[in-house]
Amino acid sequence: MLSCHALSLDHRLHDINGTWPTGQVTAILGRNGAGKSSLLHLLAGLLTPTRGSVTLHQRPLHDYPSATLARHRALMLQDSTPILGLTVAEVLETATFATRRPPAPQQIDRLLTELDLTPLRQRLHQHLSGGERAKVAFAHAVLQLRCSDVTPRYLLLDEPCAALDLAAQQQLLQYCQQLAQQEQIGVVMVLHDLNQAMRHADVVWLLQNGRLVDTGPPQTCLTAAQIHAIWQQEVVLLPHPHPPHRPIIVPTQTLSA
Amino acid sequence: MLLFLLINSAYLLLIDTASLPRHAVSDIVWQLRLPRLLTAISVGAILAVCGTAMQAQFRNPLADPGLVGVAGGAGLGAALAIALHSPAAVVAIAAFAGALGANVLAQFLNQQQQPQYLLLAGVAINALSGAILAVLFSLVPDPILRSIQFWLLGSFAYTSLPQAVALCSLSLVVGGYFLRCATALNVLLLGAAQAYALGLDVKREQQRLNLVVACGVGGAVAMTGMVGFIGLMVPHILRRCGIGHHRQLIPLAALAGAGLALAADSVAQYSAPPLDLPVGAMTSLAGAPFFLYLLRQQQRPC
Repeated sequence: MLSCHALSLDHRLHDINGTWPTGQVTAILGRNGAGKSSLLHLLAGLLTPTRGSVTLHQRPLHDYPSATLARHRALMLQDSTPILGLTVAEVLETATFATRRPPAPQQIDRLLTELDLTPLRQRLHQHLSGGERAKVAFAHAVLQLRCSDVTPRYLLLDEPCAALDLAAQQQLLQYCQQLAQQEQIGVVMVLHDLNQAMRHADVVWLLQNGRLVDTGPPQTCLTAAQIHAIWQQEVVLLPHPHPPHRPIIVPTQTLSA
Repeated sequence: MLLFLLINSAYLLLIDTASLPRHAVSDIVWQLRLPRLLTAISVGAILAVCGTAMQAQFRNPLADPGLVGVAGGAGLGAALAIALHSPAAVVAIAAFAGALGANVLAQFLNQQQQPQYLLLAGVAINALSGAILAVLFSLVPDPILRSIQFWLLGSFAYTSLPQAVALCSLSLVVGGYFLRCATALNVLLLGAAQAYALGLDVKREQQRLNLVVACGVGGAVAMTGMVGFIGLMVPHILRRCGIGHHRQLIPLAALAGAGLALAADSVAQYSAPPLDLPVGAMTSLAGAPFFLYLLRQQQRPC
C-alpha cells in the first residue's frame, strides 16, 4: 500500500501522514498553492521529500528502480506540450516502456473505444487540441497500469479535468470510479471542482498552506463550515435529486467582496 | 533515397575522368574523391542523427548541434588544439571535450525544457566560444590563423582515406547507438517527468546521449570544421513527411543527412570552378532561411 509518514517538502508541505488504499478514488483538494500538486509529485517519486518519506510496501519510493515504480503507478501531468512527430497510437505504445513489451493492439483498441478516442488513433499528437491531448494522456496512464501485472497499482492524476468539456469530465471521472472498483486500482487525483470530488471521490484530502486539515468521505469533510474555513467562500449545500444523493455545493458570496 | 545516394556517389567519383590516364584516375579516385565522398556521407549522417537525438532529448524541434552550441564548443576545442600545433588525435579529443562541455551546459540551462531557454543557452555558448576564438585569432601567427579560419568554414576536401574511414565507422557507431535506444528517444519526447514516470532512468540516459552526441559532433567538427544546419533540417523535413518513430527516423535521417551533405558538397565543388567553396557556407545558406521559417512556424498555434 502507498503511504506517507511525516512527509515534508521545504516550505510547501508539512508533516503529512496517511495511506492510500487501492480500490478507491481519493481527491486532493485545497486552494491554489496549498501543495496539492507537490503532494502528488511526491507520491509519484518525481520529487524527493525534505523530511519524512513516501513508502510502497513499507519501502521508500526512492529505493525502487524507476522501471519497477513504473509498473506500480502511472502519472498524468498537467502538460499539454505537443509530442513531435508521433501519432496517438505511437504515443500510447510508449506506455509499456517499463515492461519492454509493446501493448497488444486489442488492448489499445479497447481503451480507445471506451474513451471515444478511436478517430484520433492515427492523428499526429501535435495536431490535437488541448482537450484531446488531455484525453490521450489519461488513456496513456491507464494503459501503463493495464499492461502491468503487479499489485498495488496507482493512477495519479494532476487536475485531469482542467482542459476537458463537461461530458468528457464526466466520462473521465466515471471511468476512474470503474478502474477503482473493477480493477482494484488506487486513483489519486488533484481536483478543483468540489462537486466533482463530492460526487466521484470515496475519500477527500483537504490541504491548507501545506498541511493536511481533514480527510475522510466527502459528505463528512466537505461541510459548509469547512469549505468556508479553507476557501473563504460562503456556500450552501443542496440535496441532489439523483443517486447517490450526495449534496450539491453552490457558492453564494465571497467574504472578501 | 539510398539509390539516389549510390548514383550520386558513383557520378561524383568518376566525373571528368574519361580523358585521363588510368593511373591518374586511380590516384584521383582513391586519394581525393573517395575520402571526400566518404567524409561528406559520414559527416552528413552523423550531424543528422545527432540533431534528431538532440531534438528528442531537448524536446525541441529547434535543437541542432550548431544552434545549441555543441558544434561551437567542439570548434573551440579543436581550434585551441590546432593553435597549439597538436596532432590530429589531440584535435579530435579537444573537439570531443568542447562538444561535451557545451552539451552539458546547454542541458543544465534547459532544465525547464522551454524552447527559448535552449536557444538563448545556445546564443550564450556560441558567443562565449566566439569570444575565446577571437582572442585566439589575435594571438596566433598568420599561417595558423588562416588554416583555423578556413577549417572553421567547413570543408570535406582535406581528409585522408584513413580519416574518412574513421569517420565512417564513427557514423555507424553513433547511428547504431541511437537506433538501439529508439524507444527511449520516443519516451523522452514525452518530457523528462513523464519519461521518469514510465520507468526511464532519465539522468543516465541523458548522460549517455550527451556522450554519444559529443563523440559524433566532436569527431565530425575535428575533421571537417563547422558544417551547420544539417541536424536541424533533416529530422524536421522527415517529421513533416509523417516519420516520427525513432526506429524509422534515425536510419532515414542518416540517409537523408548523407544525401544533403553530398549535395551541398557537390554545389560547393562544381558551382564556381575552379573555386572550391566552403561546404559549411553552402549548408548555412540553405539552413538559415529554413531556421527562420521554423521560428515563424513555432510562433503559430499548432
